[in-house]
Amino acid sequence: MINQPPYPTVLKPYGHALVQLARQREDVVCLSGDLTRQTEVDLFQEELPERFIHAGMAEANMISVAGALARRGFTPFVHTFGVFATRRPLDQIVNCVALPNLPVRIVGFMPGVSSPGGPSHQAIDDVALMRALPNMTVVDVADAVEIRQAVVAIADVAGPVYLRLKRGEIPVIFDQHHEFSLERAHVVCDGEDVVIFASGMMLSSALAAAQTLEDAGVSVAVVNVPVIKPLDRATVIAAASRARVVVTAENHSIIGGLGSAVAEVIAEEGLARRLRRVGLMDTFAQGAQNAAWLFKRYGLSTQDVVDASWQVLGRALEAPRAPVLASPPGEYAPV
Amino acid sequence: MFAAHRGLSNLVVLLDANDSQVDGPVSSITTLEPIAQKFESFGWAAFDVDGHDVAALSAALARALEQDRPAVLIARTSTAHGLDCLPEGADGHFIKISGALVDDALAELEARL
Repeated sequence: MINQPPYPTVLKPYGHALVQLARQREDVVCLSGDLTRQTEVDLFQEELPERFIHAGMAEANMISVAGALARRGFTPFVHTFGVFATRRPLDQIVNCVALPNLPVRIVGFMPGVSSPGGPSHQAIDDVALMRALPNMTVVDVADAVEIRQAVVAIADVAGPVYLRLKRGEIPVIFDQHHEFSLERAHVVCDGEDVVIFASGMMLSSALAAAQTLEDAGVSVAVVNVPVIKPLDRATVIAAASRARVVVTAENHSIIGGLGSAVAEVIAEEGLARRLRRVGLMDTFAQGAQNAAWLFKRYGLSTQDVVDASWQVLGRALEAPRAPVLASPPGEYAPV
Repeated sequence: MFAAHRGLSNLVVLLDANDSQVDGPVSSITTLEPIAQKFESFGWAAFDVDGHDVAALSAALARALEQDRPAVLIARTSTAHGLDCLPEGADGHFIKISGALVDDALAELEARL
């Protein structure tokens, strides 16, 4: 079962889940790169100060320290915004973490254009950078239920993990029976005309787009793909084979992320399905007063997912209009 | 290191030393001091000045330009300096200014013109 938008939201599901994990596991240590409250680990700092390390705004050093801690048997969780977690210390991630295949968990908040803070703060290439690294697991989760389970699931991964998280109010899309899996993508609904593969914040947009398309007589499958690497190829192949056309939706550049990963599978399997990738169209974004405007400006709205599906299906008429969903304070609706 | 090695005497860095970062005072997270000696040990000339004192900044800048090596002005500042209407303990790194505070701040600044 899934909730309907606008979704209820919760605060700091990740921060609470990490504290809970650390209470059960002495090996868990927490590093923060000068964004302690923003990455929800002020909770960890208060509860378990002896295992909290203020690394300061020095991400290359922070990653190196985490690699060294992992070599000594600790399980370090490293926290900052996605741009500073991946792009800035990339060489240290390669040499101190990914190459030695160490269990460092790199947690990057504020994905894509969810930040109105301009290109310096908008992680539009973090998934691509991390996906390109051998040994790295890449996770981009959609809601609070998945976040809580993902924290536990990634704790036992043998190698490094990049976990990409929304900052602030986190929507609750799934009910408590939902099961997050590191191995399997999740077919939320099945359909035969178009399959939409979505990750992270774009899952809610994909679900809303599916509703609009169904109302217009299109049969839509939605597949939630929180684990972009290793990709669940079997589910991608099965869902793409059943549908006539494929759409991907990610809050990220269309180059190197979910869209690319799905395209590779489709091509390698010779599936001959037309594909449209919804995401940042090989462009930097910009600063703005709010994120909602950016989602529209850069083609990441529900309507953009509807339009992409409609066009790739080759429908001649105008695409149906997605209703504008109100997002009252404390609740979340996709743009 | 590069600038000193190359003798870039026309390079002057204005360093805003405000002891402020997101998680609190920089000095509570990572010790940066002694900043001047660090630059000097890299072959730079260093001038420690009150960053809110325009005359002192101007004088230090003139001296910095006379050096035969790169120079840094370490301008000691506060992110909350210059507005008495700011609440006690305001954090200039993050401050969100309400409508009422905007009016107070504008009145205070205009009174100074």
